[in-house]
Amino acid sequence: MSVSSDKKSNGSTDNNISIAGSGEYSSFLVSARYNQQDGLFRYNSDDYDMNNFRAKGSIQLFPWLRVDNNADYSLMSYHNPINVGEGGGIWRNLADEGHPSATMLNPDGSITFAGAYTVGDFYYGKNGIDTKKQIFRNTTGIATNFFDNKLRINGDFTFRNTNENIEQKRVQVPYSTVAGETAYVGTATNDLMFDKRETKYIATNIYGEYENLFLDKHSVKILAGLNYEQSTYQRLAAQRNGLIFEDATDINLALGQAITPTGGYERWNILGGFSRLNYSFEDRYLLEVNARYDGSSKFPSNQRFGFFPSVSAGWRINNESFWHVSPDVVSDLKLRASYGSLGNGNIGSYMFQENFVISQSSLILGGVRPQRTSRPSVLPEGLTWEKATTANLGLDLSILSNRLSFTGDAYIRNTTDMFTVGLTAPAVFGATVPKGNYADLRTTGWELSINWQDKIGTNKPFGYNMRVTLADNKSKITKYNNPNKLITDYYVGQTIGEIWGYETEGFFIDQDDIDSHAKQSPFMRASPTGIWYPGDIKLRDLNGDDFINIGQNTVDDPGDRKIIGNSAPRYTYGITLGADWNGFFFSTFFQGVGKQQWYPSTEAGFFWGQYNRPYNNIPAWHIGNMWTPENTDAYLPRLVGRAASSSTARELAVQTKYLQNVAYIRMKNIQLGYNIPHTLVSKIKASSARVYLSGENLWSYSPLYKISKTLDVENTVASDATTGGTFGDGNNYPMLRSFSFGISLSY
Amino acid sequence: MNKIKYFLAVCICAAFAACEPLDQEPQSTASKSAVFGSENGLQLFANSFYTILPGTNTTLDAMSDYLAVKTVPTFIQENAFAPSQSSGWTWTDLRNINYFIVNCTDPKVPIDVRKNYIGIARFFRAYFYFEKVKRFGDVPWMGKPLDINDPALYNPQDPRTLVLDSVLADLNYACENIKTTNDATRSTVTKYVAYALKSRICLFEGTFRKYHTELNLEGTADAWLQEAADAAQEVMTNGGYSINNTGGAGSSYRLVFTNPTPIANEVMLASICDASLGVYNDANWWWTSGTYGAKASFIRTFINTYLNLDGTPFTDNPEWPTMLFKDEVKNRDLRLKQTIRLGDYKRISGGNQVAAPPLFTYTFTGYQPIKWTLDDTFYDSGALNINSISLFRYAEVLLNFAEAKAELGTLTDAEWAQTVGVLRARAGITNGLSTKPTLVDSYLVTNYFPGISDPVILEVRRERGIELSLEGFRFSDILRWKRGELMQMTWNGFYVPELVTPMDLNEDGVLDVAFYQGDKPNPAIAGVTYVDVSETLSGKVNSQKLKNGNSGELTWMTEISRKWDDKLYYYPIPQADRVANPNLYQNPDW
Repeated sequence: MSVSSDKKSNGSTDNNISIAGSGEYSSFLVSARYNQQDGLFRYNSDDYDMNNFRAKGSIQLFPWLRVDNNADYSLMSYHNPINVGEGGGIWRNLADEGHPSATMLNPDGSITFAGAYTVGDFYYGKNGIDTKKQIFRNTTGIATNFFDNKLRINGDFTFRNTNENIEQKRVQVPYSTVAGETAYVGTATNDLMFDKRETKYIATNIYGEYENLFLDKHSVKILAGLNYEQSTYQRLAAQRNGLIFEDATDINLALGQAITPTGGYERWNILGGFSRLNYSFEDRYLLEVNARYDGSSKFPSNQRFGFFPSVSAGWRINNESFWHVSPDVVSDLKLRASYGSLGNGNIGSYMFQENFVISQSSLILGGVRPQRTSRPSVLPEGLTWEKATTANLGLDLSILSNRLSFTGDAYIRNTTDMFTVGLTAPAVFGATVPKGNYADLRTTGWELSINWQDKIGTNKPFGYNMRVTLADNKSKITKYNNPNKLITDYYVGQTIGEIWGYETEGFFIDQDDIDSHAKQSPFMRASPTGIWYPGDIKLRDLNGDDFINIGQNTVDDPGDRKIIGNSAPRYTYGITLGADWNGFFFSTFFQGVGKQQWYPSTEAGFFWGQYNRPYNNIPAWHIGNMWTPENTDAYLPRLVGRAASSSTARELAVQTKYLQNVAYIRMKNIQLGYNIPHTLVSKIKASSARVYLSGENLWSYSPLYKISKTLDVENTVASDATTGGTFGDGNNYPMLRSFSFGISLSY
Repeated sequence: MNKIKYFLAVCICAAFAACEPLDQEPQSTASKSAVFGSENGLQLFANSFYTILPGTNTTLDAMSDYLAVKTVPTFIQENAFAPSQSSGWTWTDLRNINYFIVNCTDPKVPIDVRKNYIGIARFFRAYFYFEKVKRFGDVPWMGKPLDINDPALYNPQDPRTLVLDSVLADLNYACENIKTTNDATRSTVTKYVAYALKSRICLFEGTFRKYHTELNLEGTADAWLQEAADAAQEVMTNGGYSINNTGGAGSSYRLVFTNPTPIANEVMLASICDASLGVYNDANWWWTSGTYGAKASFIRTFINTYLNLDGTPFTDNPEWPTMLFKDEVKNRDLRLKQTIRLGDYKRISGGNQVAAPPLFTYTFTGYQPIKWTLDDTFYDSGALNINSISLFRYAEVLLNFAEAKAELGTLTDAEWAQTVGVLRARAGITNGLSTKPTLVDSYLVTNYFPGISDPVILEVRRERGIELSLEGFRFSDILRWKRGELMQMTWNGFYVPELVTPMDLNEDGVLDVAFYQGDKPNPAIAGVTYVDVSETLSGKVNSQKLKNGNSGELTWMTEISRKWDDKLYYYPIPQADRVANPNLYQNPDW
């Protein structure tokens, strides 16, 4: 018997209310939203709650002065269950310790050892991390205008306080192996942690704008302003072990001597000036020049400021005098071009300073676990803004009385001084190579969007529309100091996302086959003993040296590997279809990726099953699909535990046969509804009312599903991605299908 | 317009009142001057060095000649190991130490205080380099943290002699400048711990040079051996340590390994565990688990080296090859019953004492270790152990002294009595305690040290193997004695006279284990562990067999060829590191 700890379906509710009003000199809006979603687990459920409140208003104090204010507040709470057996994070643990045939309860109702170690902890229901996050934000703005609205001076000031309270509880879980005797899992933790983090952010802008039209032809707009932002983060956390009983909720009831207080502080600020000039001539020739000058505290004083100009121009051809095409045929035709750069200063603070991090030692020295510090990170030689310079060409076209419109762009973006890790140094360097502005990257891409909308009939017209977007890009490294072209670092000419792997030749048929083939030992192993058997994978000896290995791990000597695919998404698209008739409306939205590959990583237990850990679940598609002497055409090799769970030496290392095509199409949303006629609505004094039925994620298709249906194509990323985990693929919060029914009333 | 000007001025002032310069200083981390400008700061930094020590690891001997384990380590499998699998070429700890040494120059701290902490740093640098030299032989010597553009990053290895001379200089500095002579908690480095490390390293180097004649450094061996003896002598004369005898005969030895707080008269430095501070080790989990640990057990050839209580070799009895487990463990060196499960050894489960004969779910040979484990089964299911793990203890210093002097040929009867004699006395051995041995035990020569004819050296080596078993010395002892071939010894277990008949291993009247081939005996006797010793199990080679087919010593994994090759005296430089620095030369024959 096994007890399942997850539910097949769960509920959620979403309520919104908003009240708005406006008068001659003022307007306001107050809105609130409550959203609640039940967790997936039957016990110790991971429930989620979100409350939002917003108040917005503006007053025209004088004809030349308006004051706006916008305040919003949100409160999110989430309970993340954990287990105190081996490892804490549940998603990863499902793969590691979620043994399919372990019994959770003893006949007397107590928890078994295997249970207490894993899902029995949920059943016991006391351990978890509760996060409460409150955000309060307020923006006050003033807008003035002078000289017939030709000169405007505007300013705004924003503050945003984010308070995150995290409470973690890890109490010991009782189990029984002998009737009447109770033992505990998690005696080594048994602690409480309180963690309070606060981020105070302020931002202010002030800018002046001058706009005028000269000689009815030359439209000019000039804008200049200043921008300042500052963010301060502070943290105070305390953890203590030795809870005197399992329901203790206050740290006063923790009596152990493992006491860990933790502080934290970070402040950054940026100051920038910005300006823009717009010029247009008879709405035919359009020109915009932008310039920013930004400084950031994250960079050393001699490299602190960056200048980022850009220019764009447009030509509206259909406004030309030589253009004689009827507006019913071509209503808009515009060519656009732009060139300019933007800065990216989004890195950690203090990266150019030597910081001695102080933390508590894990060792007992002199009777206590003392504080310790160690050498600071090695500093980069310099540090400055990463710069992205983009050249873009675009075309906007509307034809057939605006029924068909098209927007297309093609661009080349050169990212220079890209902030990334330096070339791997010999290990005697003894430290992580500092990150710096080490690489240049070139991205070429294009985007297009086509929209069709029309109505059929005149009395009760049938309206319908269709929108297709399609985009693609590809990036290559154009500068990086890697003279030997080590594959594991960036190298010049590298396409981002490329996957290096072996070519699968097949399975070994018999001992002669093994003996006559290039030696896969000692670099690879198919079993702990290093002995190869029929049914093990045979890799092609691409370089003909009679050994299968990684050579010098360089582009010029990659051993028996080559580029077998690319993990970057290509040809991303979206399709929207909509229709309405006589109060009924329908819409659906599809999205997808046209080309992408994925190699299931080590520890991707949902794909590899028992080829990963011998005690993992067996995905149903493995049955009958493993090599046996009777089934030599199988997809998977001879069943060997851990054949996939080590990154280099095992036989399921990256290779052509198991490279997955994760292109996909997904119906993200489908909605059907009805606008209740005004005659009925007015009886309840409402101005409008609609009912609708909506479904999310109801259908998807991917070539991956021909191989494996055990994980969602969009969930093939690293495990516990939401909590920063990087171990294994696919152990994540599942993609949920949902149905909702809604009523919306307006008064 | 005045109104407007006034208003704008207020706006701009209000909006930018919060601005501050773009110079931000970290607040939650310390600056260099704060760390290096006070003794507290130096102490704070020095606390980070201790993770270099092996900590609470009790599994350091998992690859050794005397343990049979679940799977044969790839390193000693024939043709199974390659530079691509090698590891250990990591230098992060060294950079931390060198950073400290180079920056510990602030005159605000008195010079002798700085020298004390530099002494501690150099103790750890010597420890670090000793580990590197044991593993790789020649390594590059670096006395300072290198800049990312420093060409020295691409230097080849330095000669062994240069590195070891530098290590000796570090050790001498540490011995002279570390001020603390006694730390009651046995958790921090003192002057005498530094002397103990010096004796350990110098003994290693002296014997390595003596026996590895291919290095052509034999002429320098005696100087190192003398350094080893002198350093050990310093601990023996001035350290104030003694061999633990509390706990009584038959218990005092094991207490050194199982007590929560270090036994202070004998243990010099330990990795401390404490439930209240939340620091545990995983000894019970590793040594008593079917999956987590390696199911490591001693082989019979080694167990045979434990002397009889009267000081005679066990193997002098011609009956030994067919003696049953229950009989062969009687009347032996009392350390045997404190090292493996035998006789009336009992565990505690739910507060009750329960008989605990060797259990064939955890052992392949029958000689199941208990040296590091706690008796209560409560500790078995995770990292829950609270016994402190000794890293340096006085017994090792005595053995370092005895071996160095024996190799020099200068060990006196008095020194024998003061070292090996003391250890054998604690083990209940009654003869041969006060005078050096004069008889060569042919079992030791035949099975372990064919080239050695000096009975003193032979007996010191026997003593070291037994006294320091499972403490992480064995593989490096084999390296320095140049006895790598020992790694090929058959993994043998106790003698099984016949199939099917259950055996009572601890003579408590309850049958414990039976060995069979093919079909499991039916009806099975409750409580008996049945072990299949067929040639094959479900079509594959069975690793657990009997030496003569249906009787004889148990054997484990004889089908996997363990092959010693002299290149194994050094690990290969990992392939990736030779790619990163092509100037590194590979160790011979890799």
